[in-house]
Amino acid sequence: MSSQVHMSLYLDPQIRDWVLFPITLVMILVGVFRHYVVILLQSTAKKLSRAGIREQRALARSQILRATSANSPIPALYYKAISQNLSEAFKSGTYLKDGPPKGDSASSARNPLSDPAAMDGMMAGMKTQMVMMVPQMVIMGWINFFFQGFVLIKLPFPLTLGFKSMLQRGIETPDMDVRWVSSLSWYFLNFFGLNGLYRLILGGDNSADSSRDMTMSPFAAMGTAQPGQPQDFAKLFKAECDNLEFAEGLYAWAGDEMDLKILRKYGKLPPNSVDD
Amino acid sequence: MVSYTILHKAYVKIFLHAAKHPHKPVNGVLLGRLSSGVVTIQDVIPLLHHWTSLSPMMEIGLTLAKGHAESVDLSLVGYYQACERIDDTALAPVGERVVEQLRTQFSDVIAFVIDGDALGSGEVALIPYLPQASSTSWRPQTLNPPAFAPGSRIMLADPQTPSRAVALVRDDHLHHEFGDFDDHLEDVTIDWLRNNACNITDP
Amino acid sequence: MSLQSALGQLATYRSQNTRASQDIFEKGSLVLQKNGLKKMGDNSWAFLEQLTLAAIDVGRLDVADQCLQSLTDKFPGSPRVDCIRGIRVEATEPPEVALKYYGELLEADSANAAIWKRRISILRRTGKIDKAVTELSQYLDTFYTDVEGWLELADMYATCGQYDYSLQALMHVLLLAPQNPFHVLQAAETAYTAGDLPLSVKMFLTVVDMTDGDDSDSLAESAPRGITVRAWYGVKLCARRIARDARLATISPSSTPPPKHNNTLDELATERLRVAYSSSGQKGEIAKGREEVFTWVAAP
Repeated sequence: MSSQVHMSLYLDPQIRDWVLFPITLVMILVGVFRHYVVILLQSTAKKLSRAGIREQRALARSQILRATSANSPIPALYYKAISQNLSEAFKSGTYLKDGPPKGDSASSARNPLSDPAAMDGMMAGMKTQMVMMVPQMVIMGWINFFFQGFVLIKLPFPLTLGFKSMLQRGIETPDMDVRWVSSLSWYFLNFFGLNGLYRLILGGDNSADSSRDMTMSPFAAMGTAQPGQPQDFAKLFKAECDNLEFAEGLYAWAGDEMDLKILRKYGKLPPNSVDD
Repeated sequence: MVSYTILHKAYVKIFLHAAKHPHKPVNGVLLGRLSSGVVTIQDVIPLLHHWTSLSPMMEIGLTLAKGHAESVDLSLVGYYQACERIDDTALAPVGERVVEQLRTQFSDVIAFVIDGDALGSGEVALIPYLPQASSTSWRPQTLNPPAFAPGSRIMLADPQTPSRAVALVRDDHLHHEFGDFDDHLEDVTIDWLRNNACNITDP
Repeated sequence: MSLQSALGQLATYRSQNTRASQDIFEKGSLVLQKNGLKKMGDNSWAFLEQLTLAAIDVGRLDVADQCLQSLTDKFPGSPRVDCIRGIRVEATEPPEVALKYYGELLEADSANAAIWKRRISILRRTGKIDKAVTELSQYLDTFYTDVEGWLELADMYATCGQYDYSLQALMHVLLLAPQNPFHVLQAAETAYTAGDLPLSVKMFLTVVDMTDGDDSDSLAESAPRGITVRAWYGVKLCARRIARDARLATISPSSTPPPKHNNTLDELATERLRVAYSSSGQKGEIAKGREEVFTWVAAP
């Protein structure tokens, strides 16, 4: 035993009391705090107007109609009437929030920055992102400044060298046992690992988890689809017209041959008899 | 001028039907007999409560009720209905059509609309409708003396009937035993023509 | 009755949206008495809402006010509580007051579906049917997927005798809930009333097809039950009228082709109804009113 090079370190118990626990505790508290700040920011969610809801849901109507078109519950006359009405309304833009487009202004793409509703949505996204980022930067700065190079705990199980960069960030010693965990690594472990705890404390859809917003920067979020991001409904509606036309080609009424079907089912007609 | 007498059993059944479906429209027909100028309304056959403005089940119900009435030697002498809302006491267009149809077979037909406000009070909760002499429309009849007052053309056989009907619903929950044609169509073992459990003649 | 079974029953009513106010009120009072509110956890608020509505329905406004108070304390400014408060206003105040209350709420949030529907119901109640129909159509143009709303529209049209419009509204219901045989049945009966026999008979047959179970081996022997009986009655009625007057088969506003083999359909319906009334029902009881029905189906 003693013949081997024994790299034994003694950790001051004060490190546990004054560094390890505080880092963990601060991170948990910051997560909880952030959750509530986000709720506070979101509480002023903007309500959609009637016209807005109508615009958003108009597509669903044609989707519902199309969904069953190959075996539709409604007879041809009604199907065609509904389908044509929808398609005309889509073409003329009846369902658009601002009413049917006038003249050539329809073709110009809407600038998201000019639409106040879209602007609000974007600002709300930015605010949330800021609340996510700022505390993490502060905590990291705090740890780097005060506890740089601290070794905090020793894991109770051996690990391969591959974990060295993960567990000993901030300590440049090639020979130290991988089981020792540095302060900065402890921070990252907490950063990614506390989500389960938050879920326990704050419920399923909490906004305390910070590892999510590392994957998306506030600016990346702006470009991709984001709730509140304006969609060009005029274009969507135009595309839906083609779908409606296509579905009308597939249309068949489920009740069309029902008389024959029932008679066959009850053995009054031979099965698959060709009848006309 | 014929006069009308409503027996205890008939009133109780109308009452039970209305009490069973307080938030739905209900209707049914009255069974009775004309003898020496008095129409005695002896029994009722409850028809619908799901929707009363559609005709197919109404047609079938009426035909079956007529068949039953003939088998017990009575005729269809009237119609009753209750509306969804307690403040609505108008005879629905469908009601008018039914009564007109009944009238082709029995000339002294009467219609009653249930007065929701009076239903729980122990007073008579029926508003009589009689055909107008001049037109085909049906209006609530203002009689002199008023209906159900002493000496009126339209009387209850037993003046205690309304308060006893309230007690039957409130204390005995008898309306749970009651079934109409709509119920019967969902479970054919329900005896909508006779409703034997609710055949309360006299105490 | 134990607290547990009462709670279970109440939860069933909630999930099925049943309006059994008397029963809900009695069970709900029992729960309150036995202090069951705490056992329900988050469900207790939904329960309080249910009890409030039931209490208003049976006229126990004191209980309703109590429940409403605790709901208001818990959720101040909630649109759902606003709606219940509106219903409470409707119970005692004249309709104008309720209309004004709803009008204010709608001004604040024009897209509040529940409040909008309440307002339409008051319009209908006070006899302004045309205004109610206009508003309801507008509502359904915004909230297309509201089956309840379409059913209400169909009912309004039917009470006014506008069966064609009623049928159109029901078609939207069928699109939205194609799996529900009751809606098909209602459409079939409306089509019959509108004088469209070919459409009606096919709809009735659709109901049969949806509800009779699918194992075709035992189908001919098993007795039709429940709503299927009603559909067979409808088939029989249509088939007989077409048999009496063949011209009826060609009158169809929806240009539905006339049913083929009408006589066979008539016979089949007769046979099914006879079976339904000859075998014993679910509880082993025999069907009632058999003679009358047999006479009816045998009539030419």
